[in-house]
Amino acid sequence: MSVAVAWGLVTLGLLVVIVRRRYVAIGLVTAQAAALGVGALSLAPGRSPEFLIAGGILLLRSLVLYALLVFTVRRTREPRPLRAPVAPLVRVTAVVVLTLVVLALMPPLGLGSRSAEQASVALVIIGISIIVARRATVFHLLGFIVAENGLALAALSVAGGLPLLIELGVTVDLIILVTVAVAFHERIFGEFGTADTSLLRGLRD
Amino acid sequence: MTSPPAVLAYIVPALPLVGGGLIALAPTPRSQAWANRAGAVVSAALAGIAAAWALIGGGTAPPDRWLVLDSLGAPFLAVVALVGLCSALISPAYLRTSVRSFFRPGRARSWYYLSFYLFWAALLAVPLAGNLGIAWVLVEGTTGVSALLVAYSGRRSALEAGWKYLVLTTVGLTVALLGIVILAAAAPTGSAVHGLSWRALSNTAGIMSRPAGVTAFLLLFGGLATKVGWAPVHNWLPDAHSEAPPPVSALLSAALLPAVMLIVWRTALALAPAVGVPNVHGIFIAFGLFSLAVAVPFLWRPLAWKRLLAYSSLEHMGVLALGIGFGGPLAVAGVVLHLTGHAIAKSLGFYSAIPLFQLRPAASHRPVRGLLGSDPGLVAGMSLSLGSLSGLPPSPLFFSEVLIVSGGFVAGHNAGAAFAVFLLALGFLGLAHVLVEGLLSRGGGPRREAVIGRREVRWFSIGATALLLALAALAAFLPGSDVIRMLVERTS
Repeated sequence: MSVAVAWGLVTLGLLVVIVRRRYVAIGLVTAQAAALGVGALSLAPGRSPEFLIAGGILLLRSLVLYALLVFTVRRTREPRPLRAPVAPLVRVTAVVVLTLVVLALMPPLGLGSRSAEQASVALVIIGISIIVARRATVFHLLGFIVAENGLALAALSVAGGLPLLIELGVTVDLIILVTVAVAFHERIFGEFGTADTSLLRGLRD
Repeated sequence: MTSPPAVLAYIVPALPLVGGGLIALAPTPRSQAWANRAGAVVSAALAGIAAAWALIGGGTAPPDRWLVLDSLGAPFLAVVALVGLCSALISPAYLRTSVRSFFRPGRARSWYYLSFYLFWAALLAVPLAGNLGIAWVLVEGTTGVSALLVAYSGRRSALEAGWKYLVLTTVGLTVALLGIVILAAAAPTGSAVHGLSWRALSNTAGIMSRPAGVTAFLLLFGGLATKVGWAPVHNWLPDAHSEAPPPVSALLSAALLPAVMLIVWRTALALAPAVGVPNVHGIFIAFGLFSLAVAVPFLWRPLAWKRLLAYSSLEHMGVLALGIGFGGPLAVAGVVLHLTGHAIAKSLGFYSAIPLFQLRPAASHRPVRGLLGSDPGLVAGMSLSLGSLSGLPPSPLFFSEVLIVSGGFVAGHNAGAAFAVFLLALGFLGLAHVLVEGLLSRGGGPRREAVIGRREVRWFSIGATALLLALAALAAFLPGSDVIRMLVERTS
């Protein structure tokens, strides 16, 4: 995967940290996942048939998740926009600083290229940051997917790739997880009238 | 795949998968309950046979397979089978008390059984995983179904607990997966298919760069620790354990946490050449002591019954981490004994919540007091559970804690072992206080005759008493036994 594509994926992830509308964020994450799939397919000719299948799985995964998320958001329209507790500029600055610090401290991980390593770790950090910084359940789901895209980028950078069965298992797990999370999102929306996770703070000791 | 252990390793998780599907399709609650009993007994019996086979030396399947029956996984497999069986048998009683659900009313019971058996099947497969990648897929697979079960009651608090569990453990497992990718990259070219098997990982760890090996280990340990519930990444644990249906709470505490801990143990053994054996031991001991230190203050606080049991899980996962970190015959014997004793005592405690919440609905969010006058039989079961968990002699947990701490002193971890003794003593006093002041104090609560689950809990109490006493007696012979010798060889 070229350096430009890898950092392009990171830029898409950072945009998800900033954007307010759920549809825009879903579009950005889908574009990121689709770019990964297309990138994997473009690398396939020189590699094993398993790599081709893995690229196809990534592309298919992006479409399935897009359909699932758009369907869910249509069914659960928020009465008013959910504003994150921190302003967009502050959010993105904090995520960039955190990512740069981690990348500076990170030793070489032995993946295909250093830029792919850095972009993968950056995407995992951005994904986790989205979960921490945003209140809407849909953004938590998008955070998972961004982090998983980072892991997929790392796996594509490995010379032999991950074993196909494990790639398949990870994909199936992700789809099951997102489906379960969507079920939770709908129940939370039904119970509270909004899918705002800041309302889920009743259990304390 | 023709040897009996190899075949068994695949059949053991397949049976509950099939059973869960059949139970979900059964047309009436009565037929579901009947199919549940049959499915649970057959699944647990086969898993028990597989575990016994591995322990007596028959389980020598080649290690480069997706699922492997081996001596280290055998005690964990047996415990998952036992807890799954008991939880399945008590589930109909819980379902009779359940009034609302996360699922649509007409299908809630079917969804419960389907999710329960999927969860149990994945849990049975985790100790059999012969490959780190497959282990990750299975552990992640447990998250989705168990999150649905945690939120089964559909209450706001259950939704909160289920969502937290889903988010926090998934974040942890995402971090762990990055560690797996690093290991896959370091594996020699051409070994992709089984490059992540425990044996291949050990070889890889010997040749990979130290910084990459240490980074992979820390990512895996930290990520999986979230699922084990070790402090400081345990935030989901008290909420999920207290909000889940009692049979599921038992599976979470007594089966899921130890099963994932086994994966951490196997990973640590495989990566020790890259990280260094003393460092691996040190990390286990640090997590163990920190978990104990975080849990103990909560054992002194007046908490709702299931929340108290949840913090006790944090304490006992800390004790198991200490045992793994100390190593040697005494500590390993302690780990096996503790694992089993904790599973029996904790499950009984959670099952007791079924009749308890009918007698005292407020007990779901408030401490229990003065129950003795209302239901002495139930108090006996709860006291047996709490007394055993506190380490009150002759509880097997008393002997296992003595073995683990002795193992620490023998291995030269004097400071760690001494601090553990101090924390365990504090934990014991906290739970003993709850036992005397809460459960055994007399109160004026109403006595109800028709309480669902009371009869089942009495039977479980009798069975648990027998098993706990047998385990306590076994403590005298276990450290010098062939089983422990085999496990020590396997984990050295």
